[in-house]
Amino acid sequence: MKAERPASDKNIRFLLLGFICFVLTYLDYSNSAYIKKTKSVINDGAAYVSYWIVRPFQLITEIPTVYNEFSLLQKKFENQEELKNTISKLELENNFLKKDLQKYLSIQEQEKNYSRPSIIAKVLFNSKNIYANNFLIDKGSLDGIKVGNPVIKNNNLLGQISEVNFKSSRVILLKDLNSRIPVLIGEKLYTGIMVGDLNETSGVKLEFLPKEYEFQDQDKIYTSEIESILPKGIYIGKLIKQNNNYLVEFNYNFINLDYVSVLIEQ
Amino acid sequence: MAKVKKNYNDLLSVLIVLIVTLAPSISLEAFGDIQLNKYFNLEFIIIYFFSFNRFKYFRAISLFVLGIIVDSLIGNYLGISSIAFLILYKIAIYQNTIQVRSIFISEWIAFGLAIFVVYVVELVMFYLTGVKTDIQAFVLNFIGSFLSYPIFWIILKYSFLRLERFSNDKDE
Repeated sequence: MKAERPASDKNIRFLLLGFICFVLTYLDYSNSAYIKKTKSVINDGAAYVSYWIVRPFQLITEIPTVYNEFSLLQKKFENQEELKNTISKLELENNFLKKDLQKYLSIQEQEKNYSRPSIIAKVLFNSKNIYANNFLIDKGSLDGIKVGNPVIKNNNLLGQISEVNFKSSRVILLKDLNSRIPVLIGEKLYTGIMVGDLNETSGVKLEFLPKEYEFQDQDKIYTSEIESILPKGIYIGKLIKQNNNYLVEFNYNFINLDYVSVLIEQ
Repeated sequence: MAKVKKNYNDLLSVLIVLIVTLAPSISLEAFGDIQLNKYFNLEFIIIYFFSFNRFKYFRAISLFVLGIIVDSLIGNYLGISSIAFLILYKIAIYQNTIQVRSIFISEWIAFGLAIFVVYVVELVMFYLTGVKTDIQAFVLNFIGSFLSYPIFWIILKYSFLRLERFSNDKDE
């Protein structure tokens, strides 16, 4: 029988672990070189492992859709000749690949609108809770990504890179409490800072606006430039007037993200 | 020499908490923007339940590692979730040691006290590291976690008691 450890041993171990936690937090907060690489390895590992744990569950949730599509196809082709079946299967496969290619090419085409080169990245893990509103992508420092790089989808700014690991990065969404983006608003290009705010209906609010400003309904919001980090003119959303208040309406749904583009430095 | 029986309870509990952490990512894709984790913290409920009821499912070291993984996924500074989990574990064990009678109400109140301490520690650590937090969201999460504890208590108590009974019967 395994002997039970004395209580004092357990207490010492607990205090030691607690101490290690505080040291880790301090080293991480102070951006210490001792922990930077280790953290990158931990983050990469956690991101990819969680992706592979989550993937089967995601596939399970897709089963009803796949089943419906499958039964429809079965009904459609069950009376046809075997050859026709083969042809249609090949066509389906071809269409799927074409769509995939088109999707990929259209993403690349959209990103050509910006003078900066871009990298297409896959979303590995979504994190949305009271602590944070961010997601992990499968590209990191080895792919040329740096902290502050803008992340876009269909020409809309989603957020910025907040943390870079070797083969993964964290994207902080515009709606995150710690997100700060300099913006230009409307035809008169008023400057301001877009700040994430959970209490706002749209999830963001505008701060540091000029002393005198006048917004119009449907005024568009674009990014303002931060030298070598954020290019000017990426579309963010538009202002909607609601009961004498202005809400920011985003053009893009922040959920169900599959692929995103990261604008990197030239 | 008696064969030492392997105990997978620790691994099982860590997996449960890990799946709970990963669940929002699955639910975001499957059900859209339903944010149940905004209203209660299931990780705290599970850790407290297993620690308080002395099912011996958790060890301090596994909670430490689990906290590091959670921080890495959420994007917190490393160690914040670990310290929260460890404090919750220690308080739960201490409360269990000093309890005189096993009444659910006392366990429920003790849970409320324990998670209150943990939320305060988390908020202090976020404040010290300069991370902006929404206190209102934390208060809502605390109230939600406290109120939903009896529901999860019933589910966990009966499912895991059955599992334990089953394994005890098998041993005999």
